Amino acid sequence: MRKKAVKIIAVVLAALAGIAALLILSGALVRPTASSLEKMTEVPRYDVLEWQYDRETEILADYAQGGHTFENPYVITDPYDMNPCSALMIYETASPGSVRVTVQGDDAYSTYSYTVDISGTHCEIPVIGLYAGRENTVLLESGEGTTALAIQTEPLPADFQTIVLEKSVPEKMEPGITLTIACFNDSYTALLDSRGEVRGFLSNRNMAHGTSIILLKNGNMMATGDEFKQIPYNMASLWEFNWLGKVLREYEIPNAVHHGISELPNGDILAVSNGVDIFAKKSREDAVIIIDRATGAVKKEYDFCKILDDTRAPYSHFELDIKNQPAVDWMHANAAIYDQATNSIIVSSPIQSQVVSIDADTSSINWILGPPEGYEGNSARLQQYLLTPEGSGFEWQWGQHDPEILPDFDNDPNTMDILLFDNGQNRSFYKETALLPEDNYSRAVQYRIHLNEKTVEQIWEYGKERGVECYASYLGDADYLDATGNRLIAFGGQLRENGEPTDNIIGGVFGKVVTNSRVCEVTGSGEDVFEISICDNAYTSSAETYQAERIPLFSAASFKCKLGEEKGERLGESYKCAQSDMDAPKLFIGKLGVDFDDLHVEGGRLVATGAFQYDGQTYLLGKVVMTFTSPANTYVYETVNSLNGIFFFSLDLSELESGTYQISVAGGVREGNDTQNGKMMQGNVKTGYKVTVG
Amino acid sequence: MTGRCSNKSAWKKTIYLLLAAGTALLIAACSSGDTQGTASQDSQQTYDWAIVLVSSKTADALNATKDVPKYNGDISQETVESKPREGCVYLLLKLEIQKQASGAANFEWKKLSIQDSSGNSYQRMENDTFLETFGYSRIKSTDLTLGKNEGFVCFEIKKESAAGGLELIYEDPQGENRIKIQ
Repeated sequence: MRKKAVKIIAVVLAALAGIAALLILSGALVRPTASSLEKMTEVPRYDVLEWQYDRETEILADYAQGGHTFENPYVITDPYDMNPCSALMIYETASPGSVRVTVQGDDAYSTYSYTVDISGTHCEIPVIGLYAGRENTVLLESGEGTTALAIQTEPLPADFQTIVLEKSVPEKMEPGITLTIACFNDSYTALLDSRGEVRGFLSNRNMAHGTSIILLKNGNMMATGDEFKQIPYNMASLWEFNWLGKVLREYEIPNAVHHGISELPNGDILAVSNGVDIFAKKSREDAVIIIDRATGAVKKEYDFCKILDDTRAPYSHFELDIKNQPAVDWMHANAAIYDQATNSIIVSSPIQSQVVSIDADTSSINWILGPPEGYEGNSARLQQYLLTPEGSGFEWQWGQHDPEILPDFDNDPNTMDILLFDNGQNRSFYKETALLPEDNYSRAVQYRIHLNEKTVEQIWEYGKERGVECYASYLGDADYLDATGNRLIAFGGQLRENGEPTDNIIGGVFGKVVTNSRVCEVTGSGEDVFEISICDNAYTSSAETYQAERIPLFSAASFKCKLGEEKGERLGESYKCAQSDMDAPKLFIGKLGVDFDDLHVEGGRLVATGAFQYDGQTYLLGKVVMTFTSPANTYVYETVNSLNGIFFFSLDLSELESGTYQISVAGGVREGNDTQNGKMMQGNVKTGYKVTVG
Repeated sequence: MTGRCSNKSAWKKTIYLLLAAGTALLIAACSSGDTQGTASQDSQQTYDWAIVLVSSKTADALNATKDVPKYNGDISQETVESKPREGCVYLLLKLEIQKQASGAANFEWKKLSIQDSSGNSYQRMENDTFLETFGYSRIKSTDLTLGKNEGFVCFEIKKESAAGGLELIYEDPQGENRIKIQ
């Protein structure tokens, strides 16, 4: 009997094993049914351009019921949910003309006035520069008289960086408002007046961080959009916007942009970027691109792996402490500017402590500004381009940011004056002779390059005398201010651990180390006429300033378009993830989970930012793919992998057959700091989301 | 016979158990993640602004632990805490506030209050932006002009007021709107 029973069990087990094997091999265990799809959540659809246009329609419908006049205008604060210190006023008038808008400040220097021209009877008046968390007084003056309005604004968010005014001599300051740009998406990009008060900020922290924000010739602002392609600031688009928060144009950039953008004489955009596939290229942040302003297309790419030497290895604190990095950050290009006089592009590499001029057409090197150490082996061919220092008091820059071409002060076409922010990181090519952070300093420095002689002299500096108080291992900016000749300097990334200076940049990026900053405006003679310190508080450790700019508060040309007249335009082409050659997993296994920071459908594209976790913790990411499974089809797509289990994803949904797809994520995370040899913990997890195509 | 029967029955049970276990394993392998509940909402057509109280809770303090991850899997934790004044608690209300007709007056926060059974009245905290730090998306505190506005708002109320009998009151242009807080 027992034998028979054992046989029966064996047969049943074998049958079960067979059924299980069949189920696994057929993929039935991961294939959804109509009823299981029913229970999943459809990926939300969101498109900032659509949302803003719908919002305008909604505002107009609400406004239309009110019969608003100059004396009783319709007022909506923060109409696009972008800048809580802004408002829009709307009314009808019988007497078109100009309207003078005055936002009352705490003194004459912090009172802002500007004029809005009204061409028809329908008036839309942008109000920019309101204080946060206050009842603001705003005056409208026109041929119809004067109207005083009280506009209440939102308080600053609790985790807003703390701003302390150290000094202000407004009569000696450059006119305008100070724009401080965040580097990471856990601090805020803000507009500050001469008293250090916040008069505007971007509540969408995913936009406009880690990259310069520029005032375009057409009066609009340009900054990075809010879609990531890679941490912590490689962004997949640029937005042309105004300070009400209206996105007028979105340029999708498949390479992603980071650190620096500038406008070329023909309106095209010069941007610091990457190769399109930074993992195939095995290096990152070492390309410069030109974006066609009319089409958004990337029309030219400069690959600095081919121009410089990607094996030159100075001692720096930018590198992550991980083995077998999938994409080496050997250059960390942080600025690209164009010099029309010489048709050259000047690019800054802080890791290499190089400011390099190349011919814009041929990519051949004109000169390299930077310390002469480390030009052996593969780098020996670059020695011929090094500038030779001359004159007294000369010091090289180390880990610099934001070179800027200055006016021709000496009226000599053979010279070029450059102002840059010299972070001073290490002040040595070698670890053995590196300066400790507590002994270090940062400064703004002006060099004069003699182009024919290939020599360089130091003309001006500020910051060295302030020693470690102003030492910023990373981030920063130095700008020449045209009206006064003053310089605006951002000591941008002052890393402090228990109050002591440190060079732990990666700790700062991950929020383990406090990053504070300091913004100063000094005259040519070095008189400090404005200074603010930006500090951490109980709610944030991120108080860095990537860059600071002095800009006019109001640009009339930026507000020409009235509500409902024009939906923002999308140009260029987004990056798209490719199909993977990996087989779709047949089982859901492992302790893996996925946490989406962003998951939405924008137009015909699915966009995601997620973190792949093992047992609730993040690890070094091995690889992640996203799987789309319907009852009939299965697709597996690569993602853009990053650190800490983070991945980014962009899929053109037209590549999928019509149907409803269950979304799952498969892959593995690695223990330890070795991207190839760390113990891999892998699996496949259902996200609970579905997407419907067609 | 009994023995044989009982033996058969035992084997059958074992086989059924194995089958059941196998099926359960298969179902578990194929099953998806969490389910989410939804709150019922009443429509209120008679007011300029329809208010739905989605949920409410009181808290002696709000705490948030921020995980700061390292790429090797280590996580260091930072804790942030916000406490109400001595003798008070936070009352967090999740609201949906929706304009019912274009052109109607703004929703004004000064017209919204909480009243306890003893007649004590409370206004929304002037600055409750800290809610975001603790994971509560909040409704902005400026007057609402348009559309549907969803999120939390915070009141600081006396501990004794939190015992029960609280009402949310909005002085709507169409009349007083009272909502009991459970």
